[in-house]
Amino acid sequence: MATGLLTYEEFVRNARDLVVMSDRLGDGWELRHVRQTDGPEETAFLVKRICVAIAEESPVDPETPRDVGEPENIEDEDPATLHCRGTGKLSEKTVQFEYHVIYSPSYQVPVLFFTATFHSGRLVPLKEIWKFLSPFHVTRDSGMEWESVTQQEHPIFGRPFYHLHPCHTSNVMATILTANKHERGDRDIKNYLLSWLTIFGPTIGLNVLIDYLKIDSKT
Amino acid sequence: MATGGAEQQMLQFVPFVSRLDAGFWHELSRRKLEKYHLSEAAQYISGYYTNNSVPGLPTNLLLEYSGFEKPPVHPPYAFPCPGSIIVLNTIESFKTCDKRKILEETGRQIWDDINDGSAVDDPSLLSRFMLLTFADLKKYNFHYWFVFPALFPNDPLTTLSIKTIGSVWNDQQLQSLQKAYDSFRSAHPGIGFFIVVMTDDGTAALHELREAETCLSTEKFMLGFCDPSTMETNPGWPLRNLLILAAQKWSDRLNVVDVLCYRDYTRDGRRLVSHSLLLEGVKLPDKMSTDVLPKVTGWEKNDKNKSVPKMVNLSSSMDPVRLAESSVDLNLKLMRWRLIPSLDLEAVSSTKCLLLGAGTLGCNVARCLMGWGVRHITLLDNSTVSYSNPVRQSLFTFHDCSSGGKHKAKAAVESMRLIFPGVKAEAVDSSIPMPGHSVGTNAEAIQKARKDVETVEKLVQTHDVVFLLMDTRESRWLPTLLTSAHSKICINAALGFDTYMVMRHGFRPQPGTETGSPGVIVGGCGSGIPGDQLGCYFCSDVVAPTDSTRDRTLDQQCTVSRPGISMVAGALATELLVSLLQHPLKALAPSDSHTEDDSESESCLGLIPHQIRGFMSRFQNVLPASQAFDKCTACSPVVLSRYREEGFDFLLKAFNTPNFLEDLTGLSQLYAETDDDQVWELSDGEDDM
Repeated sequence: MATGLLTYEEFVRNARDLVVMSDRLGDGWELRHVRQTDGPEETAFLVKRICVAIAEESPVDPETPRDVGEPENIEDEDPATLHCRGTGKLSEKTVQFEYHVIYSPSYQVPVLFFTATFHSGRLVPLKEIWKFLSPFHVTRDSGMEWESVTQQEHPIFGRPFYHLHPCHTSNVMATILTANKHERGDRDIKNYLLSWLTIFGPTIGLNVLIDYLKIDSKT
Repeated sequence: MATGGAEQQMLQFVPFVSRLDAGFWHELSRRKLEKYHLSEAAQYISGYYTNNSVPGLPTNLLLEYSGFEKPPVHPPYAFPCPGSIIVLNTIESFKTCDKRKILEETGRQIWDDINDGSAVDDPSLLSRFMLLTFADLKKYNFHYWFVFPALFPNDPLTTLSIKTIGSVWNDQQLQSLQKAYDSFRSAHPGIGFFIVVMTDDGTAALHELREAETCLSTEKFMLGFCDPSTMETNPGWPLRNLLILAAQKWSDRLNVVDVLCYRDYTRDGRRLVSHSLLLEGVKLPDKMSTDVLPKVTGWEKNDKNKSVPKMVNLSSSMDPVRLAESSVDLNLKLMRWRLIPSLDLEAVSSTKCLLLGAGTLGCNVARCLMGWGVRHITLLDNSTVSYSNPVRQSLFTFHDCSSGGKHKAKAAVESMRLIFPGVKAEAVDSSIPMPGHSVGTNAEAIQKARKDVETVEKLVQTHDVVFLLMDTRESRWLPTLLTSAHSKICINAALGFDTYMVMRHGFRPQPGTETGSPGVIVGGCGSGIPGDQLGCYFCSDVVAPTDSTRDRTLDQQCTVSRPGISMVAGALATELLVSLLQHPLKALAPSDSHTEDDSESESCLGLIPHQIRGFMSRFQNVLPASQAFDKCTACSPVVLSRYREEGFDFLLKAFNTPNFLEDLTGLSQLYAETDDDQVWELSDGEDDM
């Protein structure tokens, strides 16, 4: 692992451990398996969704969702329905971030894919995503070298996702693993995936709970 | 058990808000095309809700791509809702279908499931929903409307009080509840309805609804459900049908009940359930006759509380043309993020390029420009694709040659659109009048020449950059003059057998414009000449262009060159332009021929030479620079001012009258003063490239 690379088997093992810890922390990670049409093997990947309210003055998505037609008188007035839409009682504008961690056989590292959607399922443009993330995202213009987001077809679903380009992942991870060895002797880091997530996740709004480091996945 | 009293308050429920993920629409489109076809029958689908939202978030019912699968794949913390989806074939049927009937039919399913006991065994049936859609797959417009049916009791549902459990129960009770819930969840994953029995010693136990009969006798019997609502005063939608179920099934022994609205979220690693609501003393409605469907409500309202369907346009994530565009742009941006932060991609992509000639050079330059994200590309050519072309001219195929051959510019543009539909490419089928190729005095011929000149003039004016990629020298004269006269960037590429020449013409600002360039030539060896003092293709010539195809063999008329030459030269021509556009002075950037790597350049892409002359036989390039020539037949002040004054009449003289340009510029006089042999020596090396 000191090369910063990860095998698929290690990836799956790490991912299972991560989900066990996540379940205990209520962090929402799940491991999904998909059988792709062109292969007998199932591909495992991690999924997490986060719904966030966005500020009212945030740029709305002008195209969605649009009402079509006139209001229809199709049901009787119901006093037991709470009319909370448009009252400011609940956030009207929310965006759902969907994160997928997928193993890249060619780079031999995990790759973070993500997308963000409005209520209607329309994708939030990348420019807007940065705006929503700006609170977490102090390093926006600092030219961090792994901050290379590009649009890519999802390797499993074939639809457009954004992803953090994996070209620097192994270098960064190798540095961390080496530094870890120096400080802690022979003890390997707890979970490659977890360490990786703590570094790359926050760039795109995916923060990792400190509690992961406090619990042991094996117990 | 709390007792009913006079101070009963009416319960109001927070309706579901639909939330779809992008994958859902992708999967729906796929199924519509591959499976449903024209069927408008209701299809199976599953959605889910959660009870772990942070306060303030809406009560979402989510549908994702995996909801079509049987069994559906949902997150571990989700509570599945069975549903059905109807995909209508026309917008008319979407508008006019009987919404009341749809609402009642879906409501009736819930009503029947309650009365026949299915919903007791599988309480997720209480959250059944229906999604009505019309998908316009050509425009990627999706019309949709959800029904989350809730049955009305005869009288409003009321409760005595609404409190958070944190304000009623102690820590021990809360922890016991949490523990009881966890063990219920692991035994019955995804079941969001249950019975809570809280003993006097503060121990909680959760049971399935089907165990109600045995639990009813216990003292601390509560109905419980996982509550998607985040409001402090209102439970979520799933409780409505649960209360109807309780009334229909257990009203003989139960008329007032406490309800636990269980909410459970983790923030910053801390799990919280104390914000769950306790509804004390909920008065159950009277049992209703199973024969009559109660009133049903449930069409999703918009944010103005109106019953209106929604439409979403997903072309930005589904239209392959738009996907290709954003993908190409983001991919180019990688260059900036990873290597050259100061790279100005917009300066490149917004440049309008005119390519004169759609042969080997034209094809290769067009492709390379598309690679840089350039969108506006116009190609001009007057010939057709012949059988020998496609193997070298990279935009054509064999099919372009049949039945006389397509027009080259048109075929090239069609091909570019196939490669990248986002390109804004135009084809112009026109010839370029040339000096030495006499137009004659025939009125019709003159009219044609006038029209051709106008076409080229207009094209030059409406583009930012003109590429000279034709196969003769003299056809470059008119565009060289026009780019000089209209102050456009001109990139010139010419090929020999195993040699090539790529150059940027000197930039000629409009008369009276202050260029701000130093006006002083720095150093010798052709280095450091300001952009407005650089020569053009004709500046180094001491003969005016004449008909170079006359008296030639067939071989000489075609471009006979090593096939790789045009790819190299086409690429260099494009890259020269891109480097130039990155320089702060753009076209006025001085020539730079330093070959050392460490020399500083003001363009982030490196040095910007005036000319690149390559010799394939030695795999070598040299980067000469030359100054503008004041007797140049194409860009000298006298030529430009005569063109500005006389326009087409001036050009016609140049086309028709031998030696007109030489006489005008003073070249004739220069000849008279010079030995003929020397002249030929000078012109040799460059003309035939």
